[in-house]
Amino acid sequence: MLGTALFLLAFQDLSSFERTVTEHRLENGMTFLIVERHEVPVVSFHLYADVGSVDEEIGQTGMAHMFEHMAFKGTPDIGTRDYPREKEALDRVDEAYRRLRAAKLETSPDAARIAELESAFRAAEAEAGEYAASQELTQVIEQAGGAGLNASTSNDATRYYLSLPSNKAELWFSLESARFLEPVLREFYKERDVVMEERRMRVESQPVGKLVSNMLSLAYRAHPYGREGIGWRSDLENLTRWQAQEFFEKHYVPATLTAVIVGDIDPKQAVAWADAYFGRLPKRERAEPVLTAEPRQEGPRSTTVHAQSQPVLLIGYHKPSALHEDDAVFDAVQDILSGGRTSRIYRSLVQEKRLSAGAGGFPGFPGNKYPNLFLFFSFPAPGHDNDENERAMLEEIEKLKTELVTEEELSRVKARARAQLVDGLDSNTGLASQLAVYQVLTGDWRNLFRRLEAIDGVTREDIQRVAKEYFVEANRSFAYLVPAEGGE
Amino acid sequence: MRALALGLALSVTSPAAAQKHYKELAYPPLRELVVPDVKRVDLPNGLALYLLEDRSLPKVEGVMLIRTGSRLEPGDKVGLVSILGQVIRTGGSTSRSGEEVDRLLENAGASVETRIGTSSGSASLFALEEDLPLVLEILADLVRNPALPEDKIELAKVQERTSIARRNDDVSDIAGREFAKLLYGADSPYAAVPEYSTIEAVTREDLAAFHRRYFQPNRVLLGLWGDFDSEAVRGLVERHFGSWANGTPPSDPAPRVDAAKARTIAFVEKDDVNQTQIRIGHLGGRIDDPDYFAMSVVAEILGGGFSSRLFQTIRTQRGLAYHASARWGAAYDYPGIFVASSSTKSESTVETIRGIVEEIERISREPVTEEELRLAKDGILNSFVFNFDGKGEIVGRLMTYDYYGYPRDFLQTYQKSVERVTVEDVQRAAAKHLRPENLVVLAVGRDDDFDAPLSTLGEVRAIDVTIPPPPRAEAPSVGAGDAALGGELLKKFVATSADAIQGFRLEGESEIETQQGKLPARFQVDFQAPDRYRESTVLPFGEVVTVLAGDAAWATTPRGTADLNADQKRRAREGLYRHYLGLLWGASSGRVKASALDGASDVALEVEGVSMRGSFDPSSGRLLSLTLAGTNLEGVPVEEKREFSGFESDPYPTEVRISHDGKPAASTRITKVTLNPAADADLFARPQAAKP
Repeated sequence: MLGTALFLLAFQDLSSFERTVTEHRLENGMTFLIVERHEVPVVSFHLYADVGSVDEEIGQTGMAHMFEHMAFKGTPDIGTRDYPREKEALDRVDEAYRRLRAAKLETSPDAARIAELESAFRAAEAEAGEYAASQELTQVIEQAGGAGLNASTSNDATRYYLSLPSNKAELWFSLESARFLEPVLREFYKERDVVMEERRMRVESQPVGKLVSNMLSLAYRAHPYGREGIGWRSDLENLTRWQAQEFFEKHYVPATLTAVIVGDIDPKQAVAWADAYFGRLPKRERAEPVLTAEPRQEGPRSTTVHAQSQPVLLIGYHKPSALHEDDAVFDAVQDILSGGRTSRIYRSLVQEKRLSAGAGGFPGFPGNKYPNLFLFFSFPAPGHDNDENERAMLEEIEKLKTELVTEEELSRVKARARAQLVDGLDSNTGLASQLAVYQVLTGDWRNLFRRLEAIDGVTREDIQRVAKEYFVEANRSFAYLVPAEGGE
Repeated sequence: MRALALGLALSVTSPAAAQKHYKELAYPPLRELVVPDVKRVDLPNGLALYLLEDRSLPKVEGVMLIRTGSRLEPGDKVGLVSILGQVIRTGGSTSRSGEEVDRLLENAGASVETRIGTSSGSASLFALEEDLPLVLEILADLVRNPALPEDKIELAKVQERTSIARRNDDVSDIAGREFAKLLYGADSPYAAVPEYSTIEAVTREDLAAFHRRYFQPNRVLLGLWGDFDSEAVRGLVERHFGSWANGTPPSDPAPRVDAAKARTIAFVEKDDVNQTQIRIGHLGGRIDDPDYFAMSVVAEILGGGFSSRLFQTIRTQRGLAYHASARWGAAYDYPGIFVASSSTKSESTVETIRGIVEEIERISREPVTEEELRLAKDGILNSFVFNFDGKGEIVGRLMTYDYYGYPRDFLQTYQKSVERVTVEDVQRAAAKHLRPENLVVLAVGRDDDFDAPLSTLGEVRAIDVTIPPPPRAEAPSVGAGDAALGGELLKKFVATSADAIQGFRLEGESEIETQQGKLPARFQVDFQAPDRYRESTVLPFGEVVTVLAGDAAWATTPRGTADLNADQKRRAREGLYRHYLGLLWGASSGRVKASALDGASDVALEVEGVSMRGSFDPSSGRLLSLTLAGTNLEGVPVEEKREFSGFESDPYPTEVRISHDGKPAASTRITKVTLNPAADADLFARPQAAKP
């Protein structure tokens, strides 16, 4: 009843929204989107680097994330006490590490020599550390009142965020362009230890982290989505500073960078700053995207992880990337199966059968840029196991193929999609993030709004067709977290 | 609007851009922040309504605060309030089922959610502008007339049981929970967590009574912001909430907090991880403490952000951790938690703890530098504007101040007070509020791999986080059978002993069945009526002693001594009655009730709330076996059967065979029984220092 009116309203919003957006492409290929809104004197920045862990070389998994950490270490004139000397010292660190690495890789390693080289390396590192003042970059931002300073690395992308009081907007242009013009990878090996700790926290000491890692390598035989984003332990332990430098030079070219700025900023000024600051980045050729395509799965797969944990169930089906024409159909499937309290999986597994304390499913795992998984999950309730949950989950998935969803369900999907769009528009940081994703993955930020149109076009038959095509046994992977013997 | 005009004025001066080093940048002053006015209207019944119009998007959001909280729930029903918070929403109202509410809301893309936290209850709502009337009506219906149906109560209980079952799966969950228990006390309403037994104890009537008691309009604050006309919304609110009448005002003083003050080194074993979760701290303060502002600065310098001391020393310089931070926790009306947290590989656990403790000691002892103070204050003050970048924050903050009785300009006071903080203030406040000598240190991890034993830091208190199993649903009831026959059997049982039992000592040997084979053990059990009970078991890897001494109860293992929680105490007390002589004492002192279910061979027994089944020899009066709820070595609930034999030379058994779910679990030979032994106070004294 309210569908059409609201749909029109949303579209009016796109055209009125469009007037607040300035698009700007630098000569070097970097893209800027600037959204002005002046109500509160704050501004949010979102730098989306189309560089993710999928872009890592074999043997160097974890590098995209490692570089993200290094991007906070400064430049030749930020974060140093004496750069010329520091540079020499850093070269000596590289040299010492090369020797140590070579000694470790010998066929019959000489323990005494390794120990000697290890201490020479530590000494070189300590000497370089004397020149480092790597807190400078973050300290300047924090002192300026920066909020939400952070970064994240996914399989698809690396993103750097910050919000500032709007009178200090130029600070972001200055610092952000400097660190992607000439980052100095100081304190690399200490930071590698920090990342090892992050790995212990997220994967090694975290049963669900182990399960997810196993699910990915089960489902992907060829495509790098199957690798751990944080890096295999042995790869991480062997990453070097010069490899990180090579990674930066190869992948952080302006054409991979999209900056979205939302808030109290004058777009003309922002464009001028963009040209002046980011125009410094030299134009370079983009590296090729991942060419390896995951071969078609030809039968069900399964894996089991034993851990001191209650059981967890994962079921994954391969599906196409976000660019595929059925993308909106998968969004509708997600909403019908697992959006809210009316969703089928919640109703069946959680509310009626009480098999699960939390269950659902979502597309886009572990990324959206390449063909990915529709992943279902359940956390069985006490007294119930993965098997029971699997049966109930598959029953709901099968039902999509045998019966059309109801009209009510489909119109609910559409209403909820509109509401979610409207809900997501008011926070500067949230909007910046969404615009960046749509701009990079689909080539046009407007698709954030057009997604509604696509969802409105989804039919009950589409849902059935997609379910029949993708949710099939041969395309399915199971991962089970099972309590270890003797565990609780 | 003035704000907009200023923004445009700025742009006139614009493009002259040349790139500059950040040190060369000159910033214009931040234009004045225009904080929108929130309108407060009080309904005649006392409900406080807060309204803020915002026409930028066609939506309305809202939050309701209800003066209640889980800190007001009884200690034997922990979880009651959390269940109520869920079922108010999921259970629907007396006129609409939960499922109907789900459909109405979600078909409109709207939501209403309710929950009750430690010190307040809340509801949140979201609606597209045109659906506000429906959503407000639903909100009013749910909070005024919740149906609280049994099926949704059970659903909420499943959620609670799941949280209990899964609470040891994640190390940081364990650390957070146990740290709060150490600081506030395990039974404090600020730290208590639900157990299976406390969840089972919750009834629908409990929920209804709690709701009646606290959900009254003069205890409710409702805030709405978004695309509406204030007058129209006020009319709607009056329509749906205006007829809500107040009942008896409850008295609800916030429970007191008085926690242990002594330095503690606590440890939770988690042997499947390679990283230790570390929490170090003590109780924090309240937000209305005059030193709150200075302490916010202290915490910022110590562990606030990327530039803080802990981040720089523990993470950046030493590479020990991904995460190292500190927080001066302060709550509005009770003391929060001062905590420094980190996690590091097992092999650098003690090094990291020492590193953090040193920083806490340093900041409480030495003045911070002017430069550090300037950076911290600048950070706090320059980011102040972010307190106003969302309408929800503006409305919510005002409601929170009103809820806790704080002045409405408290945030401005905060800003001014931080501006005034000096190096001396920081030092004085840090010296007064940080107590390095009384730090509670908690490590959760695998101590086999630690760089040094935790005991090098002090006496270690081992915390057992084993989850107490659920009470058994099928426990027999003494009300069901033949009470007269039961009474006679008990009398006969008591008569088997010629002596009046005031205490006993059992000594002997056991063989315990394990997956790796039989494990030999020696044991000694001591009991002094009525409340001194001690069990010592010597296993190949050391001695395990459990002691109940009046209200105190602890267990000592090779890892150290730890107090028992309420549930462990209950189980230890049950242990007494598992012994033939323990039950005999219970029967002779009138603590046992019995009711024959099937002659003498199956008798329901109840002692101090514990249900068991006994089998008696009707001719001799002896107890031949006991069947009761137990747990196996892995902590899994089982049916435990104890068969007593070897009465030959004594009125008491010398052999006990124990089986779990029908499978042999242990066999025991009692080599010596001493009735009423001389009192030995040492046995029941808590050890001063445990072995590391």
